[in-house]
Amino acid sequence: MSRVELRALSKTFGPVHAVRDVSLDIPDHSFVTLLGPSGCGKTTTLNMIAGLERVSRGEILLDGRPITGWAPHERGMAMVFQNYALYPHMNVFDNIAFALKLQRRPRDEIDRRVRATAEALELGPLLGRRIAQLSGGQQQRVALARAMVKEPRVFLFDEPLSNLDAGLRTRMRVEIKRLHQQLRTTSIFVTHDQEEAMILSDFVAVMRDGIVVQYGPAQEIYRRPSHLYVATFIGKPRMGLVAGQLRAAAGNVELVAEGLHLRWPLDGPPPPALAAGEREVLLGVRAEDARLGPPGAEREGFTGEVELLEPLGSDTYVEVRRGPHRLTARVEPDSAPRIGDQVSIRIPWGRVHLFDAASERRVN
Amino acid sequence: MSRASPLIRPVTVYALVALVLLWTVAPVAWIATMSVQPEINYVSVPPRLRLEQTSLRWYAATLASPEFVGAMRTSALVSMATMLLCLTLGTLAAYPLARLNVPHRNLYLTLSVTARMVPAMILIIPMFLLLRSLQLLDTHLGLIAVYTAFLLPYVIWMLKNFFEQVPYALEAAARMDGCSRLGALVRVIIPVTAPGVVATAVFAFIGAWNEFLFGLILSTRLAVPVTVKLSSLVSTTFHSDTSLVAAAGMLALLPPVLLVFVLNRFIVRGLVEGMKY
Ligand SMILES: Nc1ncnc2c1ncn2[C@@H]1O[C@H](COP(=O)(O)OP(=O)(O)OP(=O)(O)O)[C@@H](O)[C@H]1O
Ligand SMILES: [Mg+2]
Repeated sequence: MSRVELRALSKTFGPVHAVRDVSLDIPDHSFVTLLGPSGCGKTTTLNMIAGLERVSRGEILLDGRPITGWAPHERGMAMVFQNYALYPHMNVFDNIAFALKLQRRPRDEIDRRVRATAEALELGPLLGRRIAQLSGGQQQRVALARAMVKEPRVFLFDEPLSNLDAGLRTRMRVEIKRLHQQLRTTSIFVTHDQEEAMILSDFVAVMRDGIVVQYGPAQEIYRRPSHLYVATFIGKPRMGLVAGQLRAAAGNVELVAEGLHLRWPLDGPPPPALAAGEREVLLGVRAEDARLGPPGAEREGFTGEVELLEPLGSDTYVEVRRGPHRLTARVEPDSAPRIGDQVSIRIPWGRVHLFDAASERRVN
Repeated sequence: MSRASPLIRPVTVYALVALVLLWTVAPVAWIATMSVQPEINYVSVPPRLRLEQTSLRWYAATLASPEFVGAMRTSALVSMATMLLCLTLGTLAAYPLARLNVPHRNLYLTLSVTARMVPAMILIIPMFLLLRSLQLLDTHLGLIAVYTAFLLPYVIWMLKNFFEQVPYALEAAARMDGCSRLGALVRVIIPVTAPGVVATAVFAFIGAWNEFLFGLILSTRLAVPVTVKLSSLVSTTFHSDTSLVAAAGMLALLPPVLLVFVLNRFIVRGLVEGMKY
């Protein structure tokens, strides 16, 4: 049992509001990512959970007990840092054993646990090495081992992969995911890499300027972004957007934008977003939802010229421009058009994301 | 650079190094020579050194003088104590200055070192009066207190710079693993900055060992440091034998040199290489 709850957590550094009113419920056994750009308060939030940073306002609960003022080691959490933060004056064994030694565990227990953990992370032959004699990937595994050996109630990760090269990064990502599936320890992971967040997490909290913009299951964050910011931050390629005026007319929904007029027939009543009549919106569509076809009748789709092709091998992304608007569609590599071709993108109404132009909140 | 003269650079460098070495080592070498030769050999012009007259008897005589040995003991004791005190207090002051949000930290650092810019001469009289009223004149404790007061700001400054270089995450990791802040300081930060800490310790030791002015004024009989004793040897000319003074000087030189020699590996790493994490 290790559920972590943050209640209106805030942190100020003098005039800087690093974290504001962050409330998250992190269920037992879950893997939660704090995702956001540099400086949005991810590390500060994690450090408050760890007890490394004093909380300005708000509360942290571990399994329902307030732990806000507790010292870091009293919380039973372990942390993996971006720059590994291994003790350079100790060898691998002593690095992993450090916490257990401080807990004054019996020698044979320390020995057994360190060796078992090292074995699990394939560090067995390296136990006698000095830290300076390890590669970056090995150092990261030692850092993982140092956290694991404590058998913590919660794992905290602060961008543990961002110092690794791309290949190693993917491998370590898999390793962390595998470890979590084995150990089922509640994990809180900080990253600015949305792909990493999507792959690893059960739940994602998207942050900006110290606040959590959206918190929910990873799929929901992707499928139903609650805010324009989340919609554009998550997903590769970036969600295509068209700014215009949305209105309901004669059984249709219409989007009127500069040099563009899109129309969808409506089966039922107009969408709730249009209850108050027409409104300025940003209409978003992801590349995999956009259907590419030959240029069709005006108003049926988004007709324009192919401006850019991004072949990934398995798929090809086609960027289509019309006037000031650009949308991207995903196609099979074999059916990809050529640059300069006239094509049209059909946007299924059921797959569009609508955001209010002023508040940037989702309205559908 | 021109490819025609690949030798010019190394030759120039070595020549300069040799010059500097000559400049620093020659006086010491001369005193070393004096300490094993009868006075007449080197006082004459030009000096006539005679190998067959080389002798260690002036060393023997110096070491047989209880006054000189006592002064050596005083200096050793005072310098060691000053070094330990400076390290302990310095660490405890440098850590918060390096790591915690101490208000006005720069003001404090600037002031504490600026205060040391005052010439020692000006402080002699107040210091004398202060120690007299504390009844610490001519005591080891008095010297230790004064030396520590003078060296501590520099020690704090040096240690602070070393501590600042330790990545924050290293300390955070130690705290996550179960260290208190003090525990993290002792178990991780100090070991990691060991070269710097050792260099600072040597600095404090040598600073105390070489001090002369305060030792001269504040001590008269019971706690005379070796620097002061040496000068009194020169002025009273200790059975008017310069070789004896030279031997005493060489002996007084020994502890700091030995210290640097033993800790050389650390110091060079601390001062030249910087630190690796
Ligand atoms: N000790 C501090 N003193 C003052 N401001 C701070 C301090 N630590 C962080 N901040 C500020 O708080 C904000 C959030 O910082 P934080 O380190 O949590 O961001 P982050 O999301 O982890 O960014 P990154 O991805 O770059 O690591 C930033 O504006 C930062 O400048
Ligand atoms: Mg960070």
